[in-house]
Amino acid sequence: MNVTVIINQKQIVADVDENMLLVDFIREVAGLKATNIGCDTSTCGACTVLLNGQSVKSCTILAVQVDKKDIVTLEGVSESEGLIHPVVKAFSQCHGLQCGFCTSGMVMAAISLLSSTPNGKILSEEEIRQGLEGNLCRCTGYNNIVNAISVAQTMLSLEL
Amino acid sequence: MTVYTKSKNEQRQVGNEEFSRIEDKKILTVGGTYVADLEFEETHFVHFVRSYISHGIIKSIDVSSARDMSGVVDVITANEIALDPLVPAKIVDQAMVRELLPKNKVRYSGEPIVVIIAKSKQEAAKAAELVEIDIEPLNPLINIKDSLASNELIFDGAKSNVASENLPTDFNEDDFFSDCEIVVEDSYVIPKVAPCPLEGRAIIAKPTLENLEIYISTQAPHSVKDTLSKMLKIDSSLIHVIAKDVGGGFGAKIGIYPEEMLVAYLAKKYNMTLKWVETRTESMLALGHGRGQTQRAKLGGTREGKFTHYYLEVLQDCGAYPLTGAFLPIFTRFMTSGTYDIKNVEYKSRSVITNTNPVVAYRGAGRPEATYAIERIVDKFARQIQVDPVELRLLNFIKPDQFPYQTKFGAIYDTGEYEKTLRALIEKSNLAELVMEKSIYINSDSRFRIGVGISSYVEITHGIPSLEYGSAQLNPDGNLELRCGTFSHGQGHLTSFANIASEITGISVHNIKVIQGDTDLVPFGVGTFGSRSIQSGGVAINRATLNLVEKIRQFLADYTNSSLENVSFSKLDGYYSCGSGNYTFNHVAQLAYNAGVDLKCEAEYKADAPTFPFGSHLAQVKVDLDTCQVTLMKVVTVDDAGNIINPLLAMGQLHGGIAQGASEALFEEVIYDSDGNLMTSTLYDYGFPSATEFPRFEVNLSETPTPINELGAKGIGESGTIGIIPAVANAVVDALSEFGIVNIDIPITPVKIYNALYGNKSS
Repeated sequence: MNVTVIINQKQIVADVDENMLLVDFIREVAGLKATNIGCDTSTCGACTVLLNGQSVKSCTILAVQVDKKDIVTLEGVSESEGLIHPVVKAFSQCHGLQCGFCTSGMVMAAISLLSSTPNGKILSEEEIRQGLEGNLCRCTGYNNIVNAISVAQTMLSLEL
Repeated sequence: MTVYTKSKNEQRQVGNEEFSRIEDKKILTVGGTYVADLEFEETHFVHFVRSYISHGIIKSIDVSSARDMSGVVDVITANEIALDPLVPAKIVDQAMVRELLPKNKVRYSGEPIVVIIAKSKQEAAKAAELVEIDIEPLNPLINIKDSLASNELIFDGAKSNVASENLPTDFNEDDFFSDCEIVVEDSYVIPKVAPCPLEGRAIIAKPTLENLEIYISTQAPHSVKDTLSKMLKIDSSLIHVIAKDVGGGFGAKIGIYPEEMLVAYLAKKYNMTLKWVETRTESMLALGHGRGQTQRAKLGGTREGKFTHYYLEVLQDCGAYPLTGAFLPIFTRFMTSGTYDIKNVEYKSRSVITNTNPVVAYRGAGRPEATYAIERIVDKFARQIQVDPVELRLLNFIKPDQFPYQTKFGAIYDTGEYEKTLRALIEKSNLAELVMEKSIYINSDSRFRIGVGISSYVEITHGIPSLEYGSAQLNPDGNLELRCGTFSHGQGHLTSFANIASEITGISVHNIKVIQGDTDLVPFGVGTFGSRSIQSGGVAINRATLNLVEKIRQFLADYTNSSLENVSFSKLDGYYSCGSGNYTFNHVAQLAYNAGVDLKCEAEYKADAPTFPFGSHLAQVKVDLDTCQVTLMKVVTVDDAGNIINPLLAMGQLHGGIAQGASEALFEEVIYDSDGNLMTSTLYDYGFPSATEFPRFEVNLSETPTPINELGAKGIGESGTIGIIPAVANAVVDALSEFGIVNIDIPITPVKIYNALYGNKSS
């Protein structure tokens, strides 16, 4: 089946099996490897990407379902030359990553969480933790990931 | 002792404006490079057909239909594998050998029986459905108790189902405790847990004209090379192991697994590139599990609270094959008496084979078990004589003037300030306030109870000192290049090792490149596990860099025809001075290149002894008496691992360790049904914690340098896990003590609390 998917602002046209998962499309057809597969039950969130601006676990959706839709992966977050996204910056500054396997999904979940928060509202630590419930990390104990999102939120609100 | 505050941590933080670790830029912009991400031409895919029976005799295997499937290259059973079986370590019953694929008998559910090679993952998986394996079930021996009681031998020819044991000599338990005024005893279960690195096992084996290239998710690339060389009977120079980014290990990726050996073997045999990336379900089934001890602890002492006698009895579940499980009780034994000065200590252990996935090392490996037993029984002793558990610990700690302190079982604790860390913890946590807060709930009508638990730990890191490699080289471009035999897989060594070299040379960490994980680029190495890396590889890097600074001095002396004394190096200025001339590293690099001089120094370092980090942990919990849910409200720790190279990374190690330990105390347990089917085969069924399960961890670093190495550094990777498990369990018991509850085994789930509170009543 033919699909046209816009990934990181680039149009990709491909003939794919109807049962191909979006995560496999991203990794195998588009060749973008930052999006990882960490489980087979849609539990871990390592494959989280943005679909029309909203976070989605790309293993829970078929490639054919995103025909003509807009996908952003980690590679797309950092594409603009020299400009590093505040969430990416905050993850590093707060040491919110260790082995890196969950990181791409975490960053996408964090971007979605912050962008879906109404302007002017500051998420509490509790709300950040709730917002990350679908993304698992084994290395950091989430401590510095939560810090990073909090710091990113401040950066974004100050437009740093 | 210095207790770091956040401001000091920030001061020591390395990095430029954007990225605080060298590792981060790549991971955060294009993602890490894991084995699954690597693609090579003409790659074929491997799929394992696994046993659906935990204990049984293989009657027949029919692979004919599978072999006929499209895309299938071959379907392989034990008969086609010409590899020697895996012989157990010397301390283990020598009949307990493992065939890479079983010929006659399967010993755990999930054991690989058949290998399929196909052109695609999908075709391999489809073919797997057509493999017919007929297994006649035997009595499944799923837990230690059943296995010990059974006459049935899991390994024919073995003496029993006991793989290894440590037995005390001339020990009579009653006599041992006969002089004690107070004796408390309890039994504890530390269930098996799944290490759950987010990346499972993965390997690509690629035969080339020159050698066999192995890309693998591992903690120890050089040991993969050595093991494969022995297994495949090919010279180790013909094996090139490359480990790129690895998505966590936690002890479970120290060794190479039968699946990975088979992929390497078959790639060579069929002369084709083979790739295997396990699914999460496979990982839960067959990546080694951790822990698995049943303990009986007995502590004796005086009415005033001085401990005089301690006995710990351990039954270790090895799983189906005796790997690290056979050794874990040795580490437990080493750390039996913990932070306490106890004159008489005895220990007994047996490691038992069961029809479950083999037990391997998992964060702490034997030491959390020792700490758990002693820290739980000390709290029980405190309740028995109605003394504050903090006071009881202070009374019994090994005192600073007793170091180096030799334990009954031969551990020589290098340094320790146990009282200082506990006192710092009391202050940092505002313990008095926490105690006040919980007292409001006692005997109240509230549906909640609050509990506070303490634990003090000492643990052994770099337990078996081994030779480690490090080199430092000034490249022609003026950059410093380090190579090391340890292997960072999340710990951030590219940064912390660069910190060590930067401290000596003044060269920015961003101009220091660390090379690891490639057996062609690093001549030898041991790897990263057991909290060994900074104190082995880090010391080797330190020595190599110091030698390089001296080598450059000599080079400049020769170059300028001056005496060595006339050449000096200033780290602050960042250059060498020789007479009136100043030479930066860039300048030196060019001069050396032009002169054809290689500015490289190598160091091999083996520590004389292990080191013993220590600390104190506090957990505050809230228990809901209606839902029986435990909420972890507060975690405060003071941890001392000697000198800290990079506080940001050290704290990160503690955070992760604490999370795994707290989760082990409250959520995680590998569960098999009575037939040996794994009930926790997905992350959905298994108690893997999310961010909502934890509070912010309040971690404080203390620094008491070790004399064992010149960095003064001990290991930090496992302390968090070791300290927190008993602290959380003690906190829950504290919260429920008014109901007469003295023990609930971990993981302390709502069901267990319900049973403890209401189990014998009709609710």
